[in-house]
Amino acid sequence: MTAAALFQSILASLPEIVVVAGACILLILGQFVRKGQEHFLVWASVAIVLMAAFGTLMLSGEVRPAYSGMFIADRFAVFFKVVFYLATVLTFLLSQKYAEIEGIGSSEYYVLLLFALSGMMTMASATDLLSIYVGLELMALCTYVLTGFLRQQPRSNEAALKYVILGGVSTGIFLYGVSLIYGLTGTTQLDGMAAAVTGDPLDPGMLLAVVFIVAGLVFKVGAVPFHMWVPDVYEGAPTTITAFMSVGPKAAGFAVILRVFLNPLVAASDAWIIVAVIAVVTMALGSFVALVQDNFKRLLAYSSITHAGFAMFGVVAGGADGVASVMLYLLIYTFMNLGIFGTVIMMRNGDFSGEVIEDYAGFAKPHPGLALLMLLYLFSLAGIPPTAGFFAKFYVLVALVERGFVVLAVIAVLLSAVAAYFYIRIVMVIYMREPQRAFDPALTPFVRATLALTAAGTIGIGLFPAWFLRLAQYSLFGG
Amino acid sequence: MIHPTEYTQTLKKGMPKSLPRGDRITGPEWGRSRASKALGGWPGQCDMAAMEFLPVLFMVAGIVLVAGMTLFVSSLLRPSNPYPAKNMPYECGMDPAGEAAGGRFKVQFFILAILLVVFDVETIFLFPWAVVLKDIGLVGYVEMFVFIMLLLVGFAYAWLKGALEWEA
Repeated sequence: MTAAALFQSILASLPEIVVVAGACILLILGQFVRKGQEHFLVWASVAIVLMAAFGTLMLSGEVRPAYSGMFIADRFAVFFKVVFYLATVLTFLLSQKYAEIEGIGSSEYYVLLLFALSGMMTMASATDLLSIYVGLELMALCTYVLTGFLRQQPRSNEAALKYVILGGVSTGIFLYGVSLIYGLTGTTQLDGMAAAVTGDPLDPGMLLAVVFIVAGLVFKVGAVPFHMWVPDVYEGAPTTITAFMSVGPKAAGFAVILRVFLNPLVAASDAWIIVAVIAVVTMALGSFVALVQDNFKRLLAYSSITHAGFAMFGVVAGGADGVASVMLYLLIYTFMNLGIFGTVIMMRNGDFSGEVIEDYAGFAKPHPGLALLMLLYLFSLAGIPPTAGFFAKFYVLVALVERGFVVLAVIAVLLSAVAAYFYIRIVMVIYMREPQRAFDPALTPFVRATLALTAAGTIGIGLFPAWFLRLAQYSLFGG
Repeated sequence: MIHPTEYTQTLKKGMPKSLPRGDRITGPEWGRSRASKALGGWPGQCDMAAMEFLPVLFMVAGIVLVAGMTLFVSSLLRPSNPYPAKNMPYECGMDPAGEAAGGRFKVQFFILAILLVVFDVETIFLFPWAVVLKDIGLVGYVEMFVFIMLLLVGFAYAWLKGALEWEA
């Protein structure tokens, strides 16, 4: 690689470099932060992310392939990176008070989130199985540690241990698939892989490799049959990290899947059959198991499985419309899911955990405003118009019907009707019951800002859905 | 610095740009590497993918054969005199039962082990870098310093956290 090519590559990956360098600096500086100065860490981390976001938007003008075809900075990646920035910044804002209450306010918490962010950004830009793997591992290792951050709680330790073992197995399987692909085709480039995989007849070694790689990615997305870790890990992890994991790494997994499906060869092949089966099973399992959950975090875990299933339907539809609908879905999901997690995190104050659904009984009486916000997020998650969640589902269904998958669209609608039940049950608990205790939500300015931003996103996209869909389509055709 | 993709690109030069669909498995040309040529390179009608890995199978078979033969031949030659102390698992001078066997190690052992792995990996990376240093020029030279800087940040962090203090 010549110096000029290297310079171009550095320019293309400048946002990633900013995040990694910022995280390194914060890692060392964080050791000198005195007790009671933790808000400095929040501001510094937010500043790093904003700098990276600025760089990303500045560089979004043109497509920049980099590092000899292992990395690409295109508009598709920019769209996903914006989702990641959003998820990370909102997590930072939600974290400060929560970390103080739980006693986990150390600088490593923020540094690990930044490293996880850089891993996700690498995944969104990766065009080679090896760079995907590097991003995947960077993201996964950080989330393992963050899951176990509540060191005093056995539940958190158990979640981290489960996650690290299952995650290790899944990355091992993924890597095995990559090595098979390399052995069979002599390349690890996504394009080269797509050309070989869609060949006819498919030889068994290649099929095995594809199944392994899909398994590794589907694990990160949390779709059936690799969903086993989701409820336990989501329940045990600190709630802020659960919020982060349910949007960030999930979107990163989808970014890789979508980049593979953008390839015309894959889109024209029969790969959609596997994805359709995964989507139907995932949605069915998520919806039905969520019906019997009493723990709010566990319920949201199953809800996130359901949403992953629904987004998978968009992948099945394929084509520009299908992919754009998934991208819009992930953006909307980021807003509404971080919003509902924001309210759960806010309830954690003093001895009150706010994790059991019954804890919210009669919440609307003393706090009508906050209850209304929860209603908004829950309706959006259920997909009730005019919230953004409705349009997220609507465009996926439109893409499905346009491609002729009417049966799949009907299944998706029926299963989301099931899912609507458990969201509306919470609304009922909030509004219809008498309050049994005094509520004391931990409303810091940071949490207020997060709730305001997520509410604005949930309503705003609901009011102008076509504009945001065009944004997603624009980022698709530009890349 | 030889990039993995550049390496694959040089590999690819031998093959046609687009893979002929139906011909991929029985195709006469592409994918045949030095390994299969060294074996005599069957012409045409055989599973190239399987042929590629045949030397690996030979190697595995060879390893199993040599190991089995060694054990078998030495069992014929050696005197057999087992006693309890000899049958005990070897544990670096420590009693295999007791404190060490209970799985209760000082946590510092683990921290040192992780630090060792970090610097092991660095060394593994440094050796090939030093060998091809002339070919990769100034860019490769600078790239290694970026890598070492990142490692040093981790090392400085470990130092600041007191990972190098034995008595915590």
